[in-house]
Amino acid sequence: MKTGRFDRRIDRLRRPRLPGGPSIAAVLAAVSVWEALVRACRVPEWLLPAPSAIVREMWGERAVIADHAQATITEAVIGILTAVGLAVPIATSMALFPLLRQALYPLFVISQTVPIIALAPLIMVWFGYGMLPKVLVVLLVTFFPLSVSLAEGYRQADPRMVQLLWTMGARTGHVFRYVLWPQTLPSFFAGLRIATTYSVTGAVIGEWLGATKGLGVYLVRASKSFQTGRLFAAIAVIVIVSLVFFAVVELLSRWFLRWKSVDD
Amino acid sequence: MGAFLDVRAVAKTFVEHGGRGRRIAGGPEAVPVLRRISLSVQEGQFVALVGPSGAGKSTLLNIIAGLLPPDDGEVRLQGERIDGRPGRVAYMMQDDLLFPWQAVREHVALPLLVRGVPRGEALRRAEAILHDFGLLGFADRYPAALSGGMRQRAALARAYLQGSPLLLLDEPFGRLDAITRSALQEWLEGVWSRERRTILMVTHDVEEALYLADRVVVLSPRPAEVAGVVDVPFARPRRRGLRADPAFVQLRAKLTEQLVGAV
Repeated sequence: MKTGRFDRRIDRLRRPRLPGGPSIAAVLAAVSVWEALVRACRVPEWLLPAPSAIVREMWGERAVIADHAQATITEAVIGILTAVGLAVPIATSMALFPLLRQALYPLFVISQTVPIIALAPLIMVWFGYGMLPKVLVVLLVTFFPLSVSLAEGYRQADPRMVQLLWTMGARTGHVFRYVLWPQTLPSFFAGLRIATTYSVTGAVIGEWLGATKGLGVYLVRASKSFQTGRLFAAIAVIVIVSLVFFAVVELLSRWFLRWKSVDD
Repeated sequence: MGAFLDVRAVAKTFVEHGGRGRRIAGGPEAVPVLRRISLSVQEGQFVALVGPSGAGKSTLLNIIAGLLPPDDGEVRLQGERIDGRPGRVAYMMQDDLLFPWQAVREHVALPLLVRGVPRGEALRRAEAILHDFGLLGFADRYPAALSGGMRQRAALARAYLQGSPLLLLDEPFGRLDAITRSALQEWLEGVWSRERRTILMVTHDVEEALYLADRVVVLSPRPAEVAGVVDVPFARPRRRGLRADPAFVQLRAKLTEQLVGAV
């Protein structure tokens, strides 16, 4: 019966596991160790709060945190939607006109090498303390991964598939609809996944440098008043919001790329 | 006027940057691929084009499909110039070329959608021919979940539904195993006998050419010229046992000889 047991083990390896099962276990384990160490060593809360203290803080501050989080989420969502809205036509034009690609591509790379932390205060000076400068920071950090992944996707298109459409009497619009866009979609989603994780951090950095509302503001206030529990509460919320964003993109990508996961 | 499809003195030279060929004054190399090819196809005829690999068979099909302009000569379909004008003839290119993101039904409907047929109607008409192409029940499958034979049939169905009077096939069964291959040849012969669409098929398989075609055109190696034309005498519908028929074997030997002689 030894072989039977072995087969079953191989079977278990092949079967798709519950997504995130092991990672959830790992996170829970890390949090438990953290909690135990803080309690055992009696670490003061202003130095490092225990997870339970952070959760208590989050719950006590829930109304305030929700208010700030709403501002951050709004900035991140508007920023990323604007980035998509700009990256799609720009990357598409770059695919159509190689000259444009040669002209713009280095600029994109250069824009990425400028440290955002240096640029963000300037953006505040130019556009004030409202929502616009935060959206611009998000746009700045998400546009690059989106446009580059799209441009790469277009470059990988199979020219013979395009030729096939020409023989059917297709117009340029058909070529994009039936070949280029579907072909680019996996690459686009790869870029979108990176961009969404950047977007929340981008918004928080924007707020950090000057705002009246947002998780970045809350973060600054908590750290200046040595309320480490609140600081960690803000961090936890930022992580959770980013994870939710990531999950939404993941679901969208699974729906749009459902043809990729078929081999029955 | 004359023939249904008329290829007149078509010539093509590729300019390659690096590679073998005739070197012109140290610049890029010019590789002549087609040297004055002339051939004609009658309406409703099944013509096979055989030649050694690399002879430029696919190049010739690309020119007839309008994808590649010839350097010299012209291509006429029912008297009308079609070289350099894609969209007039259906073309099944090598390696099935299915789109991984489309289910079978959408593949077959694609030429109709491109022509502006409303989506619902296009999908209905696609579905209606799935039976003839042995794809009934596979309408919702994506290419990754199809066998090699089914993929080729889906690609053929897509070319068929385009409704062009001329169908170009580039090694339609080139990548298949021998058994699937001969089964599909028999199936294609049946479909063709019913529909009588004019077909020009490229292959490097002499037996396939003889089994399917009314006429076989032999090309010489690069730069290609027409090395010979053979009319195939066998009655239709062609029987499965035809391949073992002495007359068939003899003709196959003669054609193979011509092909090898051309090399």
